[in-house]
Amino acid sequence: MAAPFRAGIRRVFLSTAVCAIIIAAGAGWWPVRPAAAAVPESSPGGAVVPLTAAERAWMREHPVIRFGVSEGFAPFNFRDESGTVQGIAVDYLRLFAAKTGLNLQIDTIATWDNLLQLTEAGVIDGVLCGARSAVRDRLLAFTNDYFVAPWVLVTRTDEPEFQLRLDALGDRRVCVLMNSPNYDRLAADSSVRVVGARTVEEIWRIVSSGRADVGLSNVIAAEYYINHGDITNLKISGIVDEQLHLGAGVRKDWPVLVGILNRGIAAITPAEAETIRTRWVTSNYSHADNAAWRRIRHWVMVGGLLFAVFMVSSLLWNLRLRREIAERSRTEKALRASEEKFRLIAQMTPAGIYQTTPEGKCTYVNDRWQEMSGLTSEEAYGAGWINGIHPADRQGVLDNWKQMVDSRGNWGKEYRFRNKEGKITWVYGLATPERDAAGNIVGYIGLNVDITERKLAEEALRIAARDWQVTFDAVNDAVWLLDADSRIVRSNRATRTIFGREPADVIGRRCWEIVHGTAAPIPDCPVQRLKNTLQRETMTLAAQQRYYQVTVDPIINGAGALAGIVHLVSDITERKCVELALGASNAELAQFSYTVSHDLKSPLTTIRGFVDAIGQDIARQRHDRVPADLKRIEHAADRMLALVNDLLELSRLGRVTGQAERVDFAVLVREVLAMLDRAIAERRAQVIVADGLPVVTVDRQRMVSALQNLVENALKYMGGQPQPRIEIGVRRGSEPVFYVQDNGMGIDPQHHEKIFGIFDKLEPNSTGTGIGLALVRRIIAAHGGRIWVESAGAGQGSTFFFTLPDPPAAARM
Amino acid sequence: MNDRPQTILLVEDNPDHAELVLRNLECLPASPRVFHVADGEQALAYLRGQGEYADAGRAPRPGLVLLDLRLPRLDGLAVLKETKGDPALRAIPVVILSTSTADSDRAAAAALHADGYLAKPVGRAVFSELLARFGF
Repeated sequence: MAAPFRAGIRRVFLSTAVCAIIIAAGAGWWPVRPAAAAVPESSPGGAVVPLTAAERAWMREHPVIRFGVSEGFAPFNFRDESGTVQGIAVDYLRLFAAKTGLNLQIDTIATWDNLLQLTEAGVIDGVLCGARSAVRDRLLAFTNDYFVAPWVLVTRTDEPEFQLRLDALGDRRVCVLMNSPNYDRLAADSSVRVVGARTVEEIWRIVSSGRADVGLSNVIAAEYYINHGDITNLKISGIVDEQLHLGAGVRKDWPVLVGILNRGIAAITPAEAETIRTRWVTSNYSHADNAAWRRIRHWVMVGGLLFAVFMVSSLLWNLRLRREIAERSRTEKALRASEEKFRLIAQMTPAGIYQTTPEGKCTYVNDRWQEMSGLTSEEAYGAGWINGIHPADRQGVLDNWKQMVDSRGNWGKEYRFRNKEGKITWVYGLATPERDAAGNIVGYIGLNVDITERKLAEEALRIAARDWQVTFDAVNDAVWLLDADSRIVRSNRATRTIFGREPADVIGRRCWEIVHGTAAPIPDCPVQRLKNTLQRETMTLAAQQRYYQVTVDPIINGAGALAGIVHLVSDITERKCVELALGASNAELAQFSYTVSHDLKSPLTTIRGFVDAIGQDIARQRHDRVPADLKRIEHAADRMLALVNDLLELSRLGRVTGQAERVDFAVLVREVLAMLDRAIAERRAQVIVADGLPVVTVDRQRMVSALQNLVENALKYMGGQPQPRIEIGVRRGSEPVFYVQDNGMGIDPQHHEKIFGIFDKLEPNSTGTGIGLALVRRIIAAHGGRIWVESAGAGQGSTFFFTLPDPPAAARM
Repeated sequence: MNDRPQTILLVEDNPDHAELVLRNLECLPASPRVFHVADGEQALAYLRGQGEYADAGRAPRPGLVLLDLRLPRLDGLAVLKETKGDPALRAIPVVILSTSTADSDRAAAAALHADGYLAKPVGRAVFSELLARFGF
């Protein structure tokens, strides 16, 4: 009997409540205005809102704006039976077009997901009648709201609850449009079970079919669907405090369009808005053009509101009572849990805990304390505890403890425990007085925290720092650490050897003051370059006969900025000298190989050419020519042989180091003249050896070879001289200058340098390979001397001069 | 017919190489007259008609100079530079005839406007083409 009665009462209550909700909400969301003229279909008169020149220009560049609307969102937008898009959104679109003069079109109706994709792809320019949400705001810029409606909760008709609240849904599953403003909020709340729908219409189907229990949407859409849709088991079961705000969202790169549309929205009159409303919101409670109905509605609204206030008050009171009871029970539970927790902590704490009398007699130690000290509690009691402390720390601890007692203060100290096996435990000991109600100290409670790990880490750090300093000082390069302002903050010992400055004296100075002695960075300073590149920079310096390489590396902090600079100066003089010598040697080698290949080819060309020529001689019956041609081949082969021998001799100079010996220069001269005896006689030359030749320190064999070449050269270039004369002697000055003088054909001054080159001969018809004088120069140079020629010119004779420093630079041979 | 050049100046310090050039040229149909000098100074003296070459009848202006590079007194490149720098001599074709195949020599000769570069040994066929090219 009672059940149907209760159900009946409930139905009456429910319908009254929902009515009140809808009316109350309706009064808020919809301005009550007399009906106005129909919505204009087009805008023949152009824009009614004033636009700026820039906005008009923008409109000319964008003649058509294409909007999309969301699917299944009647009565805001939907397709009618003819397939035409209809609804509130379309009417507003026309209004915007009329107000602004924009050519606005709706060419897409799709799910929100698709609309966002299409906007991103540039297929459509925006979405009409949309609410903002996190996802939508990423892609769309929204206009001001032009439509506001409350949210309602929609359930199946079998939902027993009168007034559902969004924050008290229990275990009901709530269905929301995905990525709508409410979806963002509800999905983030782990206590709510959210079911996502792709369209508003899908919300109704999901709730109707029982896949969710509550649907959340705006009252217009809910009401429209319940009245017009094909589902009959839905009802509005609650109202949400917040409201749905609808605006137009347009692509983010078109802020101008947002401005124009906002101007259009502001220009919409209440009458125009009312016209749209009456067209689409058909339920009888919202008819507003009848004064009587307005009065009735007013009173129903007042009654409904009073009822709603009553319902809400009783609900809140009940809720508060329940919360208080729950709170009290929670406090009791927490207290019990806290005691249990404290007990557990005392048992499990990794710290040593102890208690003493005011005089310091131990009365309690916990397990961990015993573990650290290696003493049992019995051993620790009274004054026994001191035996657990490292002997070296005992006096300090006692003194410290006494100070605390005297000052009646707290205690804190780092010291060591040492157990019977000698294991050390570093602790930080804390103690604090325990007082009675009158404030008298009744004892002390202490805590020992194990800090062994930290102490070991500190020790490791200390060792690492020492090792680093030793390594730093062991480097032969001057190494500095600079701060980001180029000031030296650390310097190693090599600063002394390289810069002659004490490492400590350069601290705080700018690097350029020490390296260059300047008050500002030099041009192209590597440190300044590094500040731009944040990469290694280098520079080579030459100063005081030495070469230095400066290398700077950045130290980058966690934020990627320059924190400091490693500045390294290396003395690269030795390397640089080797490089320079190597460069000179390479250049000489290149010249050598060029001339050698050229001059060795010359006899080969002769041989090849005359082999062909002999072939032709025979073919043309010129046998008379053959012997002469063969002779030419023979000479070319001999010349080639001589060249190769001389080259070997020349290259040997670079390889063999002869023994230096002291010998009278006159002895060497006689040796040479004896060897050339026949050649001198053939030329009928007179050779004069001057007196006073000194004793020299030379590689004897080579010096003989050099002298021999010089005398041979003099004999060879006598020219037409009828009375050849050669004089060998020495001129005394700051150093002895030896000479070999002839009265032969002489050498034009322009060739005085050229003749010492390999294969450089002045006389095409002369015999010899052209290597002789090159060889002499190398021998003299190997002895550390110089050689040059003086001659007044053709027919004036020549004098070759050379020096032989004493002692010679034998090491360079 | 008589406008064709008929004289070649051969600048070559190696007598054997000079002989080989003469042998190759003697049996060509054009059979040019070859004047031979052995160093760079003589070459310039010949071209400028100085000293012993003052008599144009005995030292006619050549239609082609075959120039060795490594020469005593004045090297081939210097001769080339003087010749090509002299408005009176510039028009005379100069072909380098050298044992060197070094790129640096070729580049230097080209930079000084040599009209050709031949690396020794050079066969008769090449000389034949060379003469044809310079109108012999």
